[in-house]
Amino acid sequence: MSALLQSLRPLYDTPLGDRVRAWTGVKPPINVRPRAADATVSDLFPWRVDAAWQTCFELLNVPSLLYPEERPRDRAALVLFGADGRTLSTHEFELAPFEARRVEIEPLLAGVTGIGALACFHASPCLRALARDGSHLSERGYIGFRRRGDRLWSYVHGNLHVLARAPGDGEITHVGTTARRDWLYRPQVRFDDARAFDLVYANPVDRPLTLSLRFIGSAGGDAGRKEIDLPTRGTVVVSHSNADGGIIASVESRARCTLWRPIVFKHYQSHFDVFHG
Amino acid sequence: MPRVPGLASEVTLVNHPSRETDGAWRGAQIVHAAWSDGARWHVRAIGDIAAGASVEIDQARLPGDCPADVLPVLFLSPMKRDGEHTRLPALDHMETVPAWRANIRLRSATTAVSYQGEYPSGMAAIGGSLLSIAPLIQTGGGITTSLLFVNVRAQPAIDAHELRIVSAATRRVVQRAVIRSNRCTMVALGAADDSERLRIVACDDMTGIPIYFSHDDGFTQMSLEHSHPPVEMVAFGARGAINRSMKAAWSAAIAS
Repeated sequence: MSALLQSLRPLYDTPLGDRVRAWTGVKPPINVRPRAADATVSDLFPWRVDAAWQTCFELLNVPSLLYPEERPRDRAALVLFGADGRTLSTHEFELAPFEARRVEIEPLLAGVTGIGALACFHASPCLRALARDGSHLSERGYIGFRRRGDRLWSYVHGNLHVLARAPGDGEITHVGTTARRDWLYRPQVRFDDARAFDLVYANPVDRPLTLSLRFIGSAGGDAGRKEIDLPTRGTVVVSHSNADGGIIASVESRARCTLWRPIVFKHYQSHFDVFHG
Repeated sequence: MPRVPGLASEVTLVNHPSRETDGAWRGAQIVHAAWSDGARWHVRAIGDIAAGASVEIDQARLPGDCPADVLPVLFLSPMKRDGEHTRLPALDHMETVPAWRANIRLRSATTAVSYQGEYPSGMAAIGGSLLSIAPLIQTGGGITTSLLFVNVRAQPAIDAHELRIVSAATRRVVQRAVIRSNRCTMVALGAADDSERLRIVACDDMTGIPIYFSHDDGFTQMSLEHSHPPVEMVAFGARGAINRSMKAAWSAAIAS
């Protein structure tokens, strides 16, 4: 059987094969490969900018990290999405080899506040070598959050391939997959040591999703449910205060999406923690 | 469980996969703590965990004979594995996609920081090498950053290795430090100006997990994040081959 599967591999181990598996639900992949061979892939990183929060993105010349001997320049594009998933703006940056630039998001938002998401795509001639191997540059970098008045950025790295875009003004496409049934996700963490917590979900697929949340109390019992409809690339923050709203230890989510996991903020007396759930 | 002077260390172990996964382990398990004395792994059962449950392990839950200067390694197993071992037990019954992780946390009097972490058994089986690139140093205004370097090996030996911290832009070796196998080594990092903030952490003969820990003087604000292995910069296709080629290029570029 395995020899048969191996011989058929050139047929199914392709971008089209990924999509057939995703569509049929037979061993659905978490991600499908981009259709464009020269596309770069990005996570969908949440941003928070308001009276309380600031966000920065650590913009790196990733092509030069992949091919250091070539010392390539990088033309990087930051694409900002609003909470409703619509594109707010696109910002292009020329990066010198090995450059790291901390980009604060607030000045790019032109007065928009609240929450949303961003993606980062790269372009450099040296990336043609990746395409020859069936690979794509992956932006899985570091996004930082800070409360106004604090000195310290708290970073979290990306953890889910979501979007792809070919160089130039190529169309943004999705590499996350929908599913024919609900998939359950339960972060391997407890929330009951914090005063409060936020779960930030950004819709990673190309269609609206209903996110069904179940809150679980410290004793393991059902402590509430919530359903949220979220447009494609839309972002929502689900907040809970353990001090005021009863103690929640765990949260599980269901959605017609093969993998959808939140960024977690936990709030303590003097500061906060952020990590991927 | 990395340990940092002045802070409490805690780990949340959970006995369920994060994503429903066909064939994922779904039974009760036994929580174990292990540490190496350089010749043997000492393994102790320290509690049970029901299917679907979670448990908090802090330093008070560690066995009484666990020395203060070791790296306690926590793992779950369906069977008791108490005793002295010449190799750390390698278990693969919790292999899932995404990886089955614990929440590894440092706590001060007023706040806490954590990351979702695990030490893959495949990494523990090899000596390996390390190359990791990140811009996570924060200094100035009372903020300092340390690198917590965690290594776990199946073999119990505690060996010293050289860690180099190199500026990606200039290839200048900014700092050298001694790190040890089967230990968490804390390395205080110097200030970095903007042109040299992107740092390469490299070790020629030992792998591990570099964790950047930034904080103010009183630990009222803390930040913790591990850096990616470089393979995370590539998706799909021949990731392994590209990763090897990239590491070889960087190793040649920063050879000392």
